[in-house]
Amino acid sequence: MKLTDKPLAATAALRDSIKKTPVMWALALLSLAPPFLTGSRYYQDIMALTLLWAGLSCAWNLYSGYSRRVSIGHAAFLGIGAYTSTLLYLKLGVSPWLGMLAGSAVSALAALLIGGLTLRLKGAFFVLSTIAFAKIMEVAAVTSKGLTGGSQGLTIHYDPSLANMIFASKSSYAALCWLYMMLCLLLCLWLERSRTGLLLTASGENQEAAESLGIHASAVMLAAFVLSAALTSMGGSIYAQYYLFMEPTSLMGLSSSVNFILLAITGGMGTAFGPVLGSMLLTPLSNLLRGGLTRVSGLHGFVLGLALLAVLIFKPDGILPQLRGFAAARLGRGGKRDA
Amino acid sequence: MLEIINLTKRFGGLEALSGLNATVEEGELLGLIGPNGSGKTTLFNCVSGVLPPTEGRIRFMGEDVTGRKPWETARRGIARSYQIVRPFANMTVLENVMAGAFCRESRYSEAQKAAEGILETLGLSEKAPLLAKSLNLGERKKLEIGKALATKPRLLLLDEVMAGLNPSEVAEMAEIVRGLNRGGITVVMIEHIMEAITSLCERLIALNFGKLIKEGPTRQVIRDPSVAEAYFGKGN
Repeated sequence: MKLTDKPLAATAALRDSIKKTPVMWALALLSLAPPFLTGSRYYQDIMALTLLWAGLSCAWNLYSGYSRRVSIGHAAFLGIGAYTSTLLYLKLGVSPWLGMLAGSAVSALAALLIGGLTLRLKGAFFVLSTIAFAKIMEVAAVTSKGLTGGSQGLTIHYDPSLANMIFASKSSYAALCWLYMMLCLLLCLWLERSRTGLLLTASGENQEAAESLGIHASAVMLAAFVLSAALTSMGGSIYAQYYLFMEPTSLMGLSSSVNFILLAITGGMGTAFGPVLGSMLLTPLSNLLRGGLTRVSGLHGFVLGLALLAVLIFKPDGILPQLRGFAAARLGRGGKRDA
Repeated sequence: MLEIINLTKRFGGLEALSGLNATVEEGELLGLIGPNGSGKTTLFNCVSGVLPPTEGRIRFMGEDVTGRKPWETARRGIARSYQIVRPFANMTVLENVMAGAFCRESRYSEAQKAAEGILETLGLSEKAPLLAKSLNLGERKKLEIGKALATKPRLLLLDEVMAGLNPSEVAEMAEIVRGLNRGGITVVMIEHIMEAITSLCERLIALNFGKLIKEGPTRQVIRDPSVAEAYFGKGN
């Protein structure tokens, strides 16, 4: 049986993906609309953050999801992106659009150095090294008061214009975040159907076996890590322009790093749409709980924690693979199942 | 085609290979035998670049490949299978073989085509879309060979591909190996199943304690008293 006779050129791959996952494609494309349909800035804010974190988690997924090597340090690249574009803007008047690219370059370089040292580590040792890296970046930002403002943070003055990447309406921010999410998502979709993606997954599964097949596993993994860092960094610049304020701990702290992972794991890591689905479920939930459960301090975190625990215990592969399995089962059994 | 010159590999105080000399001729199907711990797998590891040798040289097709990394030796045409199979468990069977095919093909569709061809010759076509972890041992062993084959090797090192298989699977695997050799691939196989060795290999190399104790035509080597002694001890 031939799986496909057609060469998988980019357009053919795209068509193939739309055919296989039409619901997720519709969800991703239509997620641009809601911020323009509501006038509430509260809900627009939640939607923009949902899209931004969907993109960030996709960027994380690009390396950690496909190689199954979990980085708990991606907040470092978020921070590098935010601080680079902001410092260039505040000190030199460089447009954040260019600053975003500069931040990506700095993050890519940092990833090259750090990845070169740590990607050879296996299992928990790699994970710990990524935590250490993010912590170092956080402490560096706290202590370099002259440059970063330390724990008091940096404020970008509100001066809306396209060139400044500062917008008066939250829906414009949401559109920017949507574009960012689509960029990250499309890269993941491309990776899934590319030589690099296949070699990355093989290298992550068993490095020694991959190398015996002629795969320069460490180079493949380093390339994906660098790309993932550069993409995350772009999200960091958008993050900075959205909040117009940054402070090391909320940006680069452990809870920020963990958020990348939670969204991806909940939706399904190593699947292109997993982080998108994860963010669409968790980011609004987290924000709505924070807004709604105000009577007992910390209650929203507790409820969110329970929800995550439930996913990890009952659906450890994430929700998306489960939905797929469910859809396949329904189709396979001629819709005999009810629920 | 392959020359092993004075090869030594030490792990701390243990000498797994000591001053081994051997050659493999192009086109032959060579058996590598010896009791457990005699250095057979270590030899494979050194040739394929998984372990750097402590001393000595390895020449392949006239080129010195001593200490080359595994992906470099694979690209030069040395492929191997592992005794304990190492499928990429969460990838499909087809993707597993494609991972090897990318050694020669950079285009996705070409690699896919090559992989499909290999699965067909191994009788694994129907398993192509399944995850590798769903295969049984016999199929995993075949997949292991399929991945190695996809790199289009000139020299194939097979490490106990028949261990753990039932008699009919052994016969099938022997046919596969014979077919590959007739197709022009030089094969060196480590094997404990004597029936398979005597029916497949014309020449054997016997190792014990990291040293070559006997080499020559298959019948001659397995009847040699020193080989029997290596396996069973003195007095048998």
